[in-house]
Amino acid sequence: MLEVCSLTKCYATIPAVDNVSFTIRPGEALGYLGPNGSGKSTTVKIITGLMEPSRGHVFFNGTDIQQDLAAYKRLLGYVPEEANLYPFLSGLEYLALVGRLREMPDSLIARRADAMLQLFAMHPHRHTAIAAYSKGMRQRILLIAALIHNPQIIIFDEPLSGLDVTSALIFRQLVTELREQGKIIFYCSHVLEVVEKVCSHVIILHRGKQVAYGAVEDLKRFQVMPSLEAAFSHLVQEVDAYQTARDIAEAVTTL
Amino acid sequence: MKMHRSWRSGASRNPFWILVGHFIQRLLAGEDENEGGMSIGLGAVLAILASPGAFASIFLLDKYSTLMQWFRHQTFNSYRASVADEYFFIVLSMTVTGLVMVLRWNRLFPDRRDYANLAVLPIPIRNVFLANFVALLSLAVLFAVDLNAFSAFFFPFIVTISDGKGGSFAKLLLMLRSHGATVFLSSLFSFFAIFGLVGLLILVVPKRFFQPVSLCTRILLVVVLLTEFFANMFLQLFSGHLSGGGNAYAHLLPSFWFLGIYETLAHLDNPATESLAQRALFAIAAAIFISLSAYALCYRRRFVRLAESLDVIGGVQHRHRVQLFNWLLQSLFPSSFERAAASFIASALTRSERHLMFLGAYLGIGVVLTAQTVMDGLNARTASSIPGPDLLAIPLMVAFFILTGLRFAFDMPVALSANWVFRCTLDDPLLNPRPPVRKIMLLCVLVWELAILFPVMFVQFGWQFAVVHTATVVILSATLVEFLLVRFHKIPFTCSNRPDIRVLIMRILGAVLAVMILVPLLASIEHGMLLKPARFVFGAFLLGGAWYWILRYRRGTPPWDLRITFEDTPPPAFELLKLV
Repeated sequence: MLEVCSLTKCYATIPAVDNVSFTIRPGEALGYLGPNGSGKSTTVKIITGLMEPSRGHVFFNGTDIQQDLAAYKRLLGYVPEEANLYPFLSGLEYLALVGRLREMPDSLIARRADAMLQLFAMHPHRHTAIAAYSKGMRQRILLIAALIHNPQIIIFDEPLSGLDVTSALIFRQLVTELREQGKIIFYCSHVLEVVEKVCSHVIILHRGKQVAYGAVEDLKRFQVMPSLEAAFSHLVQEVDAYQTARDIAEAVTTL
Repeated sequence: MKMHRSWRSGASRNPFWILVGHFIQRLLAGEDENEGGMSIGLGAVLAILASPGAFASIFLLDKYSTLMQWFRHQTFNSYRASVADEYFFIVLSMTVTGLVMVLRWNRLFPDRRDYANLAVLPIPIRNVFLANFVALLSLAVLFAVDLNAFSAFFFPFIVTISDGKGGSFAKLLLMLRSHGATVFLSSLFSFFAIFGLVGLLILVVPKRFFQPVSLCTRILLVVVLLTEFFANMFLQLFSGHLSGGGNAYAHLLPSFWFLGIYETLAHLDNPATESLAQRALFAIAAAIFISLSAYALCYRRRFVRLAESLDVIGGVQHRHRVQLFNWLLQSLFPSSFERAAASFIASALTRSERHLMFLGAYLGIGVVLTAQTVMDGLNARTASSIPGPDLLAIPLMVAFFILTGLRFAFDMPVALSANWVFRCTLDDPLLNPRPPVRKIMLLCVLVWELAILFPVMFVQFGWQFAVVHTATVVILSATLVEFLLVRFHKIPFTCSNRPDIRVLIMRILGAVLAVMILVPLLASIEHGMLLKPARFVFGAFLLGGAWYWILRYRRGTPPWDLRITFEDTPPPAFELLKLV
């Protein structure tokens, strides 16, 4: 179980994340939503162990992750928002590098990489340098790298970025399958429709503060909204989207 | 054997050594892979690095050959004579190591990409940092050995053999030791000095200013290294004498300190060099200490906190353009296309690291050759009211290097995938891209020709000479610009560039011939014209001929060749012989 207690992170004196708490049990997927600059990425960095919180703790199975970060990272799979891969490596070489640094046996890396590259339709491009990959191909390599060591906790930060429709559909189903296998899934995204479909619980963040937390259905019911998108708009949206769009269209023609 | 195999397999399984291997690969990879940059294999790098030392050693055969000495009726102490050549090898080691470090400048320390990829893995961050250092040091040692591998054996061998007394085996060993240690230590000094400098810059310079300061330092280093190398090569290797040996200021150069190590180890009994040897050893120790301390501090202060810095967006930057600049832009570039192209060219030239580095290196060679011309001009100066051809050649040389440097840089693409902006927005395919390019090239030379050259000539030689000489230089610069742009149908930096060895050789040969023959020839013609003004008719005739050829060539260009090109066409797979 992944437990986040009163998490706070301040840059200088400004809190980027302010007193956020949640729990994810095995088999659960938590959707983490919020507008740009609401503190989503900071939270992700803290729960991946890349950053220490100013206050609060992250516990995994009752132990603070900072006590043995290396052991925690062994159980962690992470798909970052930006596919910042080494462009001089091929897809297969990158997976081999990640697998070896995770101390997986070479035979296991080869088997899993081969199978997953096939499943993600990347097998024909496995020897091509990442520099030549499209955004979607890089994203698929990141997904494979996050799953290759069979992690217990998987953190997705905007995982659908650049994926085509088929890959996105596969991915959605994959999250459901991983949940059924008992994985702990933290899903950070802007795509509310997908979060609504794949996550059991959701947190909505606004200016670093947690403004809603609960099961997706409970949230919709509580807010008396037909969809998660409507509930989200109700909770965090400060500008009238329709009016802003009209203003932009007018500026294009009149200015 | 079994133990060795198990050690190897252990090392290949150990994440630390996997990281070391990864960082070595990263250091060797091309600088700009997203642009499809070239990644050079270790073998190719080693071969390239080994070649200058090998060629220099072979070149020295002529000097040390006893047969050649007999032909020339020369006798000299080969050990003492070797000091000048040893200095060349020291400079070579320091320059090549320094240039490799400057070229890999952005890869010397782990960066955000390393952090993004490696920090989430179950490896302590300090191991990532340590592995990078081990990789860097391994490559530095490998390069130092490779760079001097040929000369380390060959040079002591030819020096010992050319000794009139036959040269003993003990003497050969002594020379091997002295030369090997000296060049190896020079390379290591260069490595640690630049590594330490990068570390200090990261620690001292505020993040906001780091990029420009780092870039200026790199360009300055390239210019300094190339200046020292070429000055040494031209002045010394061909003359056989140690340049600046008697100059007190020369002893401030680190390369001279290492000569002290050579002379001390080779027992050449020069008391003056002992203090230099001590200075060299102190310098190495200081460079190692500074670089290691800076590296450790960088780990503590920067790398561990990299995740936090990724979240902090830099403050809002305001750029204020003065009205005068806007007025100049409007006046010089009247059409919107010209203004767009000129702004793009100026931004790319001043912000692209690759282009600035190239221009820095190219102009560095220009500085050396111009400095040599200045020295020749000053030495040959007489009481005459008209300066000699050497002094007249100086502005021509400067203009030549600036204009050709710009022209070569224009062919190097910047963010090629973004050139769709030009491709989509230019509705007229026959739009002439030359005017803004021509104006920018002319601006780069006219400004100093009018603001510096004219006043200097006016003060030194009077207004009549200043007007004539400045006008000559301006006209020749304009002619060179037209010549360089004669087949130019591109917006600079937006066209793909296929490396073509024939074009490269032609350009290098053209530049060498122009510097060695054309510039001195033009300066001599100008000198002749100044002595007898009637000869200006001859000059005007020559110039008219050049312009006629340029205009005729341009008129003869078929319309399909006048389209703006965005893709370099590959050479044809086969060519018609056109025998009929």
